Amino acid sequence: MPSLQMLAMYTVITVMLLPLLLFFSIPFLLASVAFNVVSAIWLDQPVRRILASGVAALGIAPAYDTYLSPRPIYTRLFTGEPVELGASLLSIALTWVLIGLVAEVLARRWRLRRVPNRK
Amino acid sequence: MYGFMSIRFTAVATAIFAAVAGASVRAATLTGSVQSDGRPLAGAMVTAIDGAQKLRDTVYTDAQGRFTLRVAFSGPMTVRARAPYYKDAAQQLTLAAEGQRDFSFHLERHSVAEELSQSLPASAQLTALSWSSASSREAFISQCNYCHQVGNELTRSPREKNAWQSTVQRMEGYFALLTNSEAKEITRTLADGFTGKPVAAIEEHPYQPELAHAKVREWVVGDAMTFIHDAEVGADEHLYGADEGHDVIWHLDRATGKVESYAEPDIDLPQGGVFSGVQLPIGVFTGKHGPHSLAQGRDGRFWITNALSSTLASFDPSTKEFHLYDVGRTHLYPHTVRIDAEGIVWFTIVASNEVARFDPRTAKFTIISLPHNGFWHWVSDTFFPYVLKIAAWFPAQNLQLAVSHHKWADQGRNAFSFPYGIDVNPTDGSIWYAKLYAHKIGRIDPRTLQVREFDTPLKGPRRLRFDPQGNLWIPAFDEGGLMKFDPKTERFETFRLPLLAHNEYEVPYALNVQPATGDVWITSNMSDRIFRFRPQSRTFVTYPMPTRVTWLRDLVFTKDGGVCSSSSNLPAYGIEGGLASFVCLYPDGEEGHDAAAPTSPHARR
Repeated sequence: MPSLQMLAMYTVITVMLLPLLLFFSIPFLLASVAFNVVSAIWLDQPVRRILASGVAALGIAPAYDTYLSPRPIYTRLFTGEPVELGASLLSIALTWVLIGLVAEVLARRWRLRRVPNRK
Repeated sequence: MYGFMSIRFTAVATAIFAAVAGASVRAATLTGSVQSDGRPLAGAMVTAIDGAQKLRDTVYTDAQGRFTLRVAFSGPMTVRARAPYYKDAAQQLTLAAEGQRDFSFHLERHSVAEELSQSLPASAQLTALSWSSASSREAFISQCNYCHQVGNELTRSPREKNAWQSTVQRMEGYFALLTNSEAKEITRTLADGFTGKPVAAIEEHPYQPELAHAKVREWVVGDAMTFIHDAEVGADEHLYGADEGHDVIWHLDRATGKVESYAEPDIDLPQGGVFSGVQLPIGVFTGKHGPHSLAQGRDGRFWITNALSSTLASFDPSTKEFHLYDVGRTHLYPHTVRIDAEGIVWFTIVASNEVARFDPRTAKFTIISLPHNGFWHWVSDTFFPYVLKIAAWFPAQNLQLAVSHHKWADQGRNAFSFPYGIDVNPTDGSIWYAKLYAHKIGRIDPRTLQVREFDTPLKGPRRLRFDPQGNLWIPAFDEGGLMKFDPKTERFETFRLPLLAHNEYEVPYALNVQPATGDVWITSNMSDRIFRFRPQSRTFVTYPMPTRVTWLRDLVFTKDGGVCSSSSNLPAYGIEGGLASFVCLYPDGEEGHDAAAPTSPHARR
């Protein structure tokens, strides 16, 4: 199978099962939000967002089984399923970047929404 | 509805016989006995195979070990004697038309454990498997045995765990609905169990006098990839078979032995049809329609469920014309079809949990959504059509396995209801269906279309049929049982199918009730037998089949007393001889049929 087609298939599968990945990552998402709030005391906003995104990425980043079915890496580690280190690090890094971007977009939107309210 | 009439009539006469009109000759007759160590062997099978190896006639020896076999051909032939625990014996001979030959077979008992083990059916080989849990064994029976035997020569060869893992995964692509843990456990069990060591031979084959009257005829059809899912008897008493792999309808004239095939019209779908994203059995499923089941209406037209293209086809055997009617591509896998007394065509739609009603006069479908029977079934019924649509973006890549909740929600086959067999109650016209994985049967009122369901006492209700009195007979595939349901009292009775050994099991796929006798005929499929259940005496007669790896689906009756089916182990090359066939068992012999039997092409030269 051509690699571009394979990439497209991975993308479609991941998008289709995103709700499931988000469900599994609820503890990490909560931890991410908590970290963002608590660390406001000693960290600047951009750094906080990057680190909080990293916490969320740890919970969401998928590992794929032989059927190409994605599940968060941490759940596979819990159940003792084999997880490739290189693929996992790549998955976490990609997820981290994606979440960081999404967080940035959401933060901008939130800021824009707040400005007119102050007027 | 597709507005074209296909007239693609492919007369792929497989030249079982030259079929020169009026050229049939009288049959040859073989008589003799089968013995071992001077003692008669009762119930041994004597099979004559024509020179072209396209036709096989079999009879059973009587209590004195004697047989009379009127074969439907002459010329060169092989005559084989076969009995459990004994080595096959065969003789080559040439018989002229109306020729006669008397000879004896002396069978030698197997003395080498490996050879004896090799001769045992799949049901015996399966005893080598040691299951760690009942649930994984149930999953194996339900999901691995419905297409083919496991344990026959093709499927029991020793393999490493990795090899079994890829085999199991391939089968999941072919729609074995397994959870990850079931797949893992089945892989382990097969790798540990099928080591090549001989299994213990503890089967018992008691002789039943009914065998002495019976005859089996097998007509080899197609090639090693042919997959005749279902067979039906036409009003002309010919056999018709739906080749799900190659989009053709096979036609056998039993009197002349002439075989033809008719190709279904092309359709604007890729190979695999609506299921093109699924990796279908390699080399076998090469079509777009996947004709699965067929039934003939009063006007002579056959109605055929096209499982892969989500269409219903009509086929007129007199003009050889097909006509396609689009069910709708979100209605997945039209399955078993039956026709009621008013000519209405009813069929189950297995992967969408629906039953369809089709009126040939108006060409209109009414789709009846069946009860979901739980949350995960609802998820399947609602989303699975769209999952398959997306999967089709990536042909034969099995995307559905990555996203389906039968995997990630750990539901396995329990994620689906699978309405399967269907039949019409002859006493009130109501429509009844079986839900294979929900373990239910249901009734549809043909006028109001109201549905009512009942839990079955045994698991795996498959292809059910009514008897003339309105009792519903249901094979329990998962538990090797037979169920009788009386719609008036709403009560079930259950019966266990007879086994060859206490540690074996059977997987009854289909049954049918002979209207004249009331006997229930049942496929067995793991032990190469057919069962005949007599409701009056509540006894079974078992007919061993002469060909190893006999896997039968719908059973149908001919007017001359035949119980017929198609041998459709998937793949056909797993069947002894490597080819599919039409099979008819004549429990009371084949009087009046042999006389008009054709000659073999060899005899004509």
